[in-house]
Amino acid sequence: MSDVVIRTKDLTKSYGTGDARVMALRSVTLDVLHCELMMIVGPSGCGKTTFVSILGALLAPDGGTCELFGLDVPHLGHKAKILFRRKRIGFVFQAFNLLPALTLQENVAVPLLVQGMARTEAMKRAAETLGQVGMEARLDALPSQISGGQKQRVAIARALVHRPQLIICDEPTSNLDHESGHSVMKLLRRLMRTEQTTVLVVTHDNRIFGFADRIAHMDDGKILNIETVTKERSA
Amino acid sequence: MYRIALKMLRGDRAKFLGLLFGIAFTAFLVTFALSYFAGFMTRGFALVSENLSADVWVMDPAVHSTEMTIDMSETVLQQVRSVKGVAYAVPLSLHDIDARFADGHFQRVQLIGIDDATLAGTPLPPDGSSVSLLRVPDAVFADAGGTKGKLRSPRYEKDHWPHDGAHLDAPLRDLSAGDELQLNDRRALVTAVTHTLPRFPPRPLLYTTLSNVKRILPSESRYITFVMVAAQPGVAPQTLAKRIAETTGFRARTAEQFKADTVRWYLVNSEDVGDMTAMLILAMTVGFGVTGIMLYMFTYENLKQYAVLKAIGASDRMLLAMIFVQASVSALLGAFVGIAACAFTGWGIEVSGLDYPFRFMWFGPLTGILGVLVVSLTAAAVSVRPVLKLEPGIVFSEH
Ligand SMILES: Nc1ncnc2c1ncn2[C@@H]1O[C@H](COP(=O)(O)OP(=O)(O)OP(=O)(O)O)[C@@H](O)[C@H]1O
Ligand SMILES: [Mg+2]
Repeated sequence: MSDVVIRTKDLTKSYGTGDARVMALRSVTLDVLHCELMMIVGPSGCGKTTFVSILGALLAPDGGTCELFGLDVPHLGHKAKILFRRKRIGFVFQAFNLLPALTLQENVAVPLLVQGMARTEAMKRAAETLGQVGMEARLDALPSQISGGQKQRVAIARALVHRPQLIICDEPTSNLDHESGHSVMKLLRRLMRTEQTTVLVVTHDNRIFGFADRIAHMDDGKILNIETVTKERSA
Repeated sequence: MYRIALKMLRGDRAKFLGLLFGIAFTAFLVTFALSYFAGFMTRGFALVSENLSADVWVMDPAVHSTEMTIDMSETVLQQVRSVKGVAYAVPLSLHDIDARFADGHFQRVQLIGIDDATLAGTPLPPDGSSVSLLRVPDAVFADAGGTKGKLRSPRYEKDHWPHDGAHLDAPLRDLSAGDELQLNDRRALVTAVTHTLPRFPPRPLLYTTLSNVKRILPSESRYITFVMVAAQPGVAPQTLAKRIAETTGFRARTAEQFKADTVRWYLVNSEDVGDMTAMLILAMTVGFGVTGIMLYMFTYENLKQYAVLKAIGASDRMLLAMIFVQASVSALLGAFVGIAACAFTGWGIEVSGLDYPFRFMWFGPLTGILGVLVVSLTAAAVSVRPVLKLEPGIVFSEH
């Protein structure tokens, strides 16, 4: 349980040039353990999204090192990065980002279809995974027909369906009320246990801090300290 | 993934219908314009079409259309008739001339001179009378030739050939059998009003015998514009045309070749065609522009969805394929609707008996389909750029 699966060192990233240059990450060093729920918190603009975008191979850093599951992610080729995201990463977004034209089942099947799995098999697995998040009754509903909390459950199903090693959540509860936010986090905790997945959660939402194993406090492009959460709420 | 692409396309019903409408409209516009053009061209070679029995047309080597012609001397007839395989050959003459009406107003008309012996090429009078009405002394058959209100005669007898000068304000009625005209100061008697094929450019026609043409235009030294040749049974028109050309030195074309020559001549020489082409190009540019922009916007508005797919691990090739599938499906569907609408319009024009140049030929719909397909795929290719360059950050934004 104590293997380090994510290891970053002195990660830097800036946007723009000249006067418009913004240092988003000044130096981020962080280790994340296998099957750990790591929260990244900090004020708006401190670089949280930038950091997890680099971890998710969506963005290239300027400097430093970034190793996930033994892979030097920033130095992977274009195709290898796509494969890395496709196989190893699941994303959960603040705005849910379900495809509005697809049914919930199809939405959840997308990561499998992208991997080239046959449609029937993909749809079957999608239905199973929707069952895991308690949405088995709404397979054919459209995203517009369900609540925000339900959307985030579907998004979690989509992030999980291909059994990734890491799930990256950026503000997963910011668009949800307290109740839904809680149940989404509970779900995440439960599933990461059963699926043996590592989870990164970027958040502002101090109401959910209790769900973390550890919390990395960021400010101004740096990690200030890492706090270990004493467990009484995790289940 | 193609299924997903199509679902995305249909996902936003209003946007999809708007896109289809735009594409359909463009396809309609292009097909309609080309059918209109084909209609005009068909009117351009109406003279050839109405002389069905002419297998081969003989003309001065410099003539390439029914529109701009020069006459041949009468010896051409003997020369052509002596060629092997010719069943019979009759002359036809075309002259532009001003016709003066009974009240004194005048109108430029085309005088069509017909072989006296056979009257071949005379349109049938619609009231069932015989073409031999053309044998009445000074007789002409008057025909609107696609014009409206150009063949008019004074309503009241007192306004016919008045002694006190022209009665140009006299009330008029349509020209009818029994009316007299003056052609080059010679008398002409309308013995029938016919309705033959409309012309392009539209112009009133007066059919008369060749001997009458000579009476009306005595100072011309040559009268024969075309010799219309019927081939003997079993002789192919192509072969005959070639043989006539070789033995006589005149230009000889089969009816089909001559129609094609005429169309080509219009394309190169006619200012009307130039204007029409300009309009067509304008219509196409607008239509294609709108289609392209709509398709581009469609992709652009779906950028976030593509970004999500990209984050999930869709390769650039997958996204490209999805966008191209969306573009081609919209283009084909839209083109189908637009062309069907155009065919329906053409059918409507036909059954309603409207005098409108419209001819639905293969190249109309084909250009319509290819046009929107090319534009849609180009628009897709352009809209792909932002998809490929997607800032992954888009997916993390709040909305
Ligand atoms: N594409 C970009 N171009 C220019 N500047 C950017 C870009 N993305 C982020 N930034 C800037 O980089 C800094 C860090 O942004 P980032 O989105 O990582 O912050 P964040 O901690 O996720 O903020 P929030 O809590 O508001 O989501 C901010 O100052 C932001 O304005
Ligand atoms: Mg952020």
